[in-house]
Amino acid sequence: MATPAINGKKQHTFDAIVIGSGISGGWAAKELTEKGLKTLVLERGRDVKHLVDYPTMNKLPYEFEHRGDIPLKVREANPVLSRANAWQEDSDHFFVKDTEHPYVQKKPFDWIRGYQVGGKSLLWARQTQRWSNYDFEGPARDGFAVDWPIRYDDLAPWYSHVESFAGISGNRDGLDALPDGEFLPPNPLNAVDGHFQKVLAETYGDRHLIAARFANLTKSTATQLAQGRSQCMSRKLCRRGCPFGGYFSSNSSTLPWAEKTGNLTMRPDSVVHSLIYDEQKGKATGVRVIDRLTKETTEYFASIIFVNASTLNTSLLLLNSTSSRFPQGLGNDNGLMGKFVAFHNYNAKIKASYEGMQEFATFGQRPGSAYIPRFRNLYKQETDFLRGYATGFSASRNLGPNTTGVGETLKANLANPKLRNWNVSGHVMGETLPKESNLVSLDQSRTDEWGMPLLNVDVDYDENDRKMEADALEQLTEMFTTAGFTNIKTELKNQAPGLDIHEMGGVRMGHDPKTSLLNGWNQMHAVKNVFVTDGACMTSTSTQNPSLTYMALTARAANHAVEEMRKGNV
Amino acid sequence: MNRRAAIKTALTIATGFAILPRHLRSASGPSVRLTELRISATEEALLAEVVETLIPATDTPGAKELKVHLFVLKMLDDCHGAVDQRAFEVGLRQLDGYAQGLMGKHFADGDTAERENVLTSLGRKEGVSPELWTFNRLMRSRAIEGYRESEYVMTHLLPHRMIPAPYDGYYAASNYELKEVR
Repeated sequence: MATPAINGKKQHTFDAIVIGSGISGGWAAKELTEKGLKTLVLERGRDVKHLVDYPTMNKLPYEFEHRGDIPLKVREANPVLSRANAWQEDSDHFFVKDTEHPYVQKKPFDWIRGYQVGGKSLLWARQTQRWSNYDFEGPARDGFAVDWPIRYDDLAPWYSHVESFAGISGNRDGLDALPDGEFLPPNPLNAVDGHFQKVLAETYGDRHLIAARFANLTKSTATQLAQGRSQCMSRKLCRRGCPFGGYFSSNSSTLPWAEKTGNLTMRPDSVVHSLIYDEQKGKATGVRVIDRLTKETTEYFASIIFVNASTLNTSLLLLNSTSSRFPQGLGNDNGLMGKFVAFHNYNAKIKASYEGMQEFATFGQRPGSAYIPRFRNLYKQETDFLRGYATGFSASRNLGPNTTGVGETLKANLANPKLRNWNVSGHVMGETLPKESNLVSLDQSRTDEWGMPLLNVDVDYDENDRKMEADALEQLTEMFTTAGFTNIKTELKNQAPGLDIHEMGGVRMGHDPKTSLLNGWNQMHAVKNVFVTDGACMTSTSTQNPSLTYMALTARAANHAVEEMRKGNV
Repeated sequence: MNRRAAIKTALTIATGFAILPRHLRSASGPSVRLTELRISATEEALLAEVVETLIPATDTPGAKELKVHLFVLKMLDDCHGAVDQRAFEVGLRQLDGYAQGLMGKHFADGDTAERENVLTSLGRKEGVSPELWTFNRLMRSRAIEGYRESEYVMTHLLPHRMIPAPYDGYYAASNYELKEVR
């Protein structure tokens, strides 16, 4: 009877296991398989194959029963999800429904999730701005969280590595706050973007408007063509999955690339229950997996394990990985796991009209828009709040329906859309400060359908956020006024944390095992063959959209892991 | 409407009718499956006349031919709450009485100008019950949506491009004003 068990174990043994197939798990899979490691990728959701499993990608507007709307009963059954903009009739199948995967909101928190191969990389907003040293040095300079164990120079070559492969559009803007990278041609700016850019430069000197860097292929180079991805066609339907592979996702890029090496084993429908810790070896030896459909438990083994389950689920999984050596969760000697969660404050919005630039309008669509990098407290502390904010800016002037009149008048009006005025808008993305009191923990009594503890989420804004959002609206109002924009309307949304879909932290990096869980290589201080490279690893949040940084951290950590493995250190 | 378009529209209507189960074509119920909204076949027929008045057939199909009234019912049924649904039902039932008060005959018996006058008056709010006013508001916005996003309009009148032209942020505004579609 011993032989089948040994064979079984052999079949279940890999060089590496990657938990999660979203934007960071996909990168771990790519790097590890390219280096020759037999890699198992475990994904809790169903399989989604590029092109094959995008049922709505080529549908016309009138082919949707509700023309894009989600029926009211479905919205009411999913109050959290109903607040996510990208949840529409054409993308419904890529979002987790509230009722399917409950969690406990100690305070209001909108947890937006995509449980399928590719995760939320199918659905992301695709903005890809690098961090600068002002971000990595932030906690040390301003005295919050802990010092990042890395600096920009550690990550710069890895930013280049992932940008070249993924295909990132942008200009070389030469700004301190937002380092340049390996860019495809930028997304075009329009006449009013250009006007605002000029006004900001002339008025402030240190406030800049640039074309935001985006993971859409403004041009497909040989690198992307080799992945079977061609130029973005500006359809602005990314959330459906792209028939051209025009934007970066795990499904279109890293996972098929990993598969081509012959070293990848994908196992969808695999809910990871916990990591297995071997006290004698002093390392994690594998994972316990519950089959999503049959609920059967299986074990898989590997020399190194990458945890890329998505920010909060990574904390959940590691907290659930208890052993006699780690009774509070794997590697959690200091009890800080699940703590110091932070996010981005998206409350502040502004919009206005513009009477100038009448000779110009906009034609067609673009997948990107403009961006004003952080200017507050950049070089030194200058306000009564810590850190700063970036602003997404967008201006447009195109045809809008003329819906006035009745009968033939209305019909003629509808056939002749009117040229609208220039509309401009800005949305603020504020850095929030990681605090011990913003945390996730395992519910002590309730479990989900797979026997996993429900996650308690206890995250809130603080005084610093309130001061910052007020300052942002004040500054933007001044900037809009200076630019001659009129009819300015500001709004403070007071949306729950989480809806920014930029939740970070819980398993933070740091120098000291007493105050952090991961070292400068995203390696667990206490369990050296476990690497956490999704949003959970983030020590602070900066203002930039975080996905690009997760990708760069993952590629860097994966290459380090392979080196360490070859040296026999893990 | 050119011949090809006419045939295509006729086919759409024919197949649209053919796939409806028999019981949905009975005189008493509406011809779309509704779970929340309570609408009789007579009321559905009146709604068809109302949307046709709003967006009439000219040399191109009008709202009735494009089955916009059924789209309005579908959206009211699936995407609106009970408050809107009840107001819509009550308002629709009040419509003919309102029309009779205004022009001395049933809405369906009015000529184009008379019917258009009824819809215009509804938008003015005064002398209009809250339900009837809400009915008109919901009917109007959903009918315009259904018409603009109908296959006919999106393929023949204002063709929808799945792959739009490259973005131009300095497009001459005059280029837009030169284009007049009839």
